[in-house]
Amino acid sequence: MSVYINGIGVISPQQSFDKNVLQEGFIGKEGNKWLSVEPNYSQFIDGKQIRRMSRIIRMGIVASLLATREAGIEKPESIIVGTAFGCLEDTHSFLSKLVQYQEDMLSPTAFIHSTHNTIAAQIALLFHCRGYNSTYVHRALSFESALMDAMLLIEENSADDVLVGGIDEITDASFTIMKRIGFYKESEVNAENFYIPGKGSVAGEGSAFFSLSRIQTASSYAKIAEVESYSFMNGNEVVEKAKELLLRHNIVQPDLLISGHNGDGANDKENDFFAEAINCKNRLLKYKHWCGEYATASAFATWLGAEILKHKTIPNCFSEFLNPDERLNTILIYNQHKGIHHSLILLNHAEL
Amino acid sequence: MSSSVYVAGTGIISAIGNNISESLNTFRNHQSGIAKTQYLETRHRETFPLGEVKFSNEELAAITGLKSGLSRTILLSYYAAKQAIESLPENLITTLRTGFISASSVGGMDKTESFFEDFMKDEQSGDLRKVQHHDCGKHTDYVCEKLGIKGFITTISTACSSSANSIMLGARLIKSGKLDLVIAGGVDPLTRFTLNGFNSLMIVDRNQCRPLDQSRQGLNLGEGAAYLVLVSNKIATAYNLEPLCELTGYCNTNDSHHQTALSDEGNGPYLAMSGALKMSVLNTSDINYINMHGTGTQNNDSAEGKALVRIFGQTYPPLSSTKSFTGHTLGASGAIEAAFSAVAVQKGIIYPNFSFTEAMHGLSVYPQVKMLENQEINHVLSNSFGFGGNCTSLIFSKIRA
Amino acid sequence: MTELKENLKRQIVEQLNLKDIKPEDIGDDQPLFVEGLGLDSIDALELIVLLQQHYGIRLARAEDGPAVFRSVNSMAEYIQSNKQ
Repeated sequence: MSVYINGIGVISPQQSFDKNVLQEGFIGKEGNKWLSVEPNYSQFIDGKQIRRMSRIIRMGIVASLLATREAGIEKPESIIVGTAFGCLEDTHSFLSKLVQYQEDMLSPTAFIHSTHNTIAAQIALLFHCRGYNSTYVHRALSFESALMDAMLLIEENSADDVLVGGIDEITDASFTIMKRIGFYKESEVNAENFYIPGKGSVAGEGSAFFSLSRIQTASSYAKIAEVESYSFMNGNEVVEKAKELLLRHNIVQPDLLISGHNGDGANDKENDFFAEAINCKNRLLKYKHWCGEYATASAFATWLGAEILKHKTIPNCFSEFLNPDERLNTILIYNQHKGIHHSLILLNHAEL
Repeated sequence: MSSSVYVAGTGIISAIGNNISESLNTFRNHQSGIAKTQYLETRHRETFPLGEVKFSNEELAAITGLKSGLSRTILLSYYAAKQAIESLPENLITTLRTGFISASSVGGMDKTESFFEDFMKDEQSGDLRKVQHHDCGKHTDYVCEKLGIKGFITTISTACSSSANSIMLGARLIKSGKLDLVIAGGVDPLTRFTLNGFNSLMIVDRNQCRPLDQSRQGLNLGEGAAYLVLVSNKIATAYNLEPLCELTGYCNTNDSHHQTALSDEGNGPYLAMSGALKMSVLNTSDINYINMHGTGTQNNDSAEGKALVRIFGQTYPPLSSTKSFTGHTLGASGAIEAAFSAVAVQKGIIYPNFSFTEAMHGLSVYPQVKMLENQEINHVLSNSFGFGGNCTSLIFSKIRA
Repeated sequence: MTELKENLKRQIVEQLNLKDIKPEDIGDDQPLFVEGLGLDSIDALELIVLLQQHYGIRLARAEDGPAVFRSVNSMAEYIQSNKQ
């Protein structure tokens, strides 16, 4: 059963909270830490509430507001969030005070907000939403898990619409630690040299929220036909699963593959293998050179896929990766992490 | 026709026992698992009694055959998950479309807080192996890899309702026909992070907690892990499994009132319990026992009590909070109490409150104070309510023909 | 006492992240909770931390909070009578 994407709100290292950005073109980023371009939050959130909200919560709230407003939804029936690391800044704040003050005089606000479901909870408070509310925290599959749950909810008739999001943030501490572990490149990176194979990628972050419904509306971007995730399967097994998925939807080959290449040699080998195996080497779109690498980056990709299907055109800033094909009805989004976690999101044109 | 969902196995470890049998004995002997910590290195060790699993990390590593140095989260999770599947026919989980859904509120924080001691002094110091356990999904992956589980794997984190939500998701995936078997539950270790966090909210009791009691002073933190093996009725029949009971109802709602406190009238709990009853097509009089969330805090017990009375009136069934024995095991509590509830149906048990003297004023809600066995137990309701207003109720029933 | 109250106002704004409010705008006798500044139960806990961090005073029972934190005046009086 397909589900319509009727509203989207995105905050990312691009000025994506303003949808005109796709016409104007993305801006090449530099450095190894790509923070979000953020809106003026006080335009969206009341001063009394905003004071207690850390940055990631604001990103989640505003992206949710943008998505629901676009969909014409006053109050979502259900809210599901995917976030691998949750509110890192609050976690760090509480942890560092714990160490500094040796378990004394600790601020409750940081602790309360360190729980991973704070973002989903704050959104529920904002909308006075008493419906189903969940938060998925499974690494690179956090957003996909949230999406699968949302589709299941609609399929079960437990909700007619669901607000779903993928969100993760960079903090100074998390960047330092992840850099030490080897997730990020040592050298300076920009959009031009991003995919030159090396070790590591670039730190990105973002918040992308989608208002989903069983009902098509004038604002519908596209349909989500299916979402699947696989863990501890090898590349060949995943390719088989992908082919089965496509077959279920009578698709021989998707019109476009949006792939999570991230500039890390080992990572991109897996992605290249998949693209080759499903004959999409020449109909391939990479995107992490615009948003960086983070666990829920596939939510950014889902926004892009939805925009492409809605307007039946690929934005200019992606033109160097593919030979534009006139047919743009089906898009497959593939992401994987360390060859352990793989995910597929199949998007169809809304009229299909 | 959608499937029925059966509970085909349980695995559990908590302050009151390392499996179901030990736990039942502890209830029988009316011994609380809440005591001074043996293993958690905290300045509050003399102040706050805790529901601690009675093994050190080294002991858990030795028992499980895992490496020492792993987070306590991984050790506890693996212990319980392995126990849950050990009575299943060999190769069943690799033959079927199997899923693994775990839950945790703090992941490998026991290791992270140790890492931070060094990191705070110098950002280039601290053993990176510790911090690689940090995220909530780490233990899930580790356990699945060890148990040879592939396919659908995920982790939920909704504070104290986390593992109840794992079980609910598992059931939904089976009913939808997407999976045949799901191992669902959760884990949380004791950490300085959570102990100090709850203390900063001033809701931790310095003595044995007294859930549902007028003079309650807060919760005792606990730790543990539990997993249920959920299967469809077709699978249970096909493989001659002996299920404990059926999961007939579940409901998740959001109280949407405050980040940490439930609404006075208990709206979230009211909607969760009502929703579960509606799904299982049961009347209030059909419920034979309620395992309350019952943390021992002023707010939870009052709100939950009010919601209970709104639904059941004064003819509520026997009820209790087993957190008075295990402590509040946070992300594990939903599954630990689901395991107790499933066994309650299987064996006809009503669990007691460890300590109780006076009912909450204005509510007249009296928990059971002694364990009862060989009871006629057809349906059990289990509640789990977490920060962020996340409220989940599960109903376990004798298997319906 | 005046200096204490001025410090308190500054510390309150900082501890509770009251970005839109200047310390001098908080009246000495202005109710801090519900009306007035509109603080809530989590802010009360933060004020308990404030008392500990800046004045070395531990408020052992959360129930004493409402009286102590009623206003800047009541906080100042409490600090004066309880300072070590």
